Amino acid sequence: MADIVEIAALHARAHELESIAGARGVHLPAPGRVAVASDQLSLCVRPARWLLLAPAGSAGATAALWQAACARVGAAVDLSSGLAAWHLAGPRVREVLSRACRLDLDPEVFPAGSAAATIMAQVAVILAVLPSGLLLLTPATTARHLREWLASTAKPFGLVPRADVTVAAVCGDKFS
Amino acid sequence: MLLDDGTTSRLAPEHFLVTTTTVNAAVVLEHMEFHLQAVCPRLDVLLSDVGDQWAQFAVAGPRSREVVAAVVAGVDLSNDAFPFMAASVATIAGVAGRVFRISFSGELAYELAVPAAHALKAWSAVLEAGKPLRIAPYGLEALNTLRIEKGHVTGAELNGNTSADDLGFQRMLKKHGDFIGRALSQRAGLTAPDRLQLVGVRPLERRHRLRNGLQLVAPRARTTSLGYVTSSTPSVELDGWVGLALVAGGRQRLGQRLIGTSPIHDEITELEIVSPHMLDPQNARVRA
Repeated sequence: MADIVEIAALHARAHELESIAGARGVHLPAPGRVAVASDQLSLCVRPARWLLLAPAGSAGATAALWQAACARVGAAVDLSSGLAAWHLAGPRVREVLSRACRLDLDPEVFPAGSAAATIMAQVAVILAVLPSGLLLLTPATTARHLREWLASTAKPFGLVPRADVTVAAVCGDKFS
Repeated sequence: MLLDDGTTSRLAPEHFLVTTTTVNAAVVLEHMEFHLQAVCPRLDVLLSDVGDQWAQFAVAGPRSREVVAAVVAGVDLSNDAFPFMAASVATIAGVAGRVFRISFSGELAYELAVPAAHALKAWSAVLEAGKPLRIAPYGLEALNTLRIEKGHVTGAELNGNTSADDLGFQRMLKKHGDFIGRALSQRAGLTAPDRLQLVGVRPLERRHRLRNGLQLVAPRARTTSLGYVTSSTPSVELDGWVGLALVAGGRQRLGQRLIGTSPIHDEITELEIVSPHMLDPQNARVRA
């Protein structure tokens, strides 16, 4: 499990928010990109708004720290319970996802470091490409539906779902 | 037109939480995002959808304060310190959450919110604390009965055709200055006295069943519909069935008798038009 925090910048304050995050050791990437630091992951699929994944702490603690850090420049909200996070890996994982994904997942088009929001199997999905596989985020209340879809779609490809994301596992990745 | 009904809580000077009707959150968020981006782009406001983040349950009933006090820490829940419509961050069953004193049932009630991952823990703590008082989970049918008796509206009345005035909410509109929808709400067609307005209905023969969709007609003009029943339920607190209806010029008809007719069921029911607030009209219970 991971703590998930959404941070967003007020009008024309994105650069200040980037500096504040930088001081906390977090790089806020450009839209459509994901960045991995030692124990945190950040991605951007909306202008001036980022999702951060950090190791799980007590309820809301990570969000509260960010809220205090970015007050007057933006806002932070806890989405740890609001989004399910899965790490998808395997030789044909892009082929599995493409069964319901309208994004072009060809590595030439959607290489490591890319992030995008889309709809798969009727529900909202955020995909980010890490060196070791893909990170998938989806609203928690419909996550079971997507998980069942994923499990049944992946079965003929010889893939089986494993545990939910731990940030340590994901952040073991480093982009070259 | 009324888009939705929900609650707005001010959690901090610049932090608000808006709730909506079930499954209407996306519509309301889209509406607010549209106005923020297209109509009021200079406002320094950020909107986030936290619907999946929070699990929230109502604890309702005359002794709900005792149950809530047993699971909530960090908030003085006495009536003076935490009156009707109060909201606060709180520790609930050991988890950082929020407590609201709001009521859709019309009873003294609180709503407790915790991050969804901790929902079972908080829910179990509430049931455990309420055990000596014989607490029981209640579902949508019970809630529907409670809210109809109380005259609280939901999807059946918020049907896209009703205005704040039609449903008796005119006093909740801002008295001075502008607001989104103000100009429209003053148009002649939306202030006409013969618009369909919310009322309560009770069968004169109390045991007679009401149906949603019953057409209401005058005894001497039975082919002209004056409105229809939107919601109905057998009442627990009152004798027999009670319902809510939208009736032309309804507020001027309190005390009148109309005929409820459902030709496809071959039913005719004599009804009296009453205030929609059929139970506890002074709101004494929610303020107890």
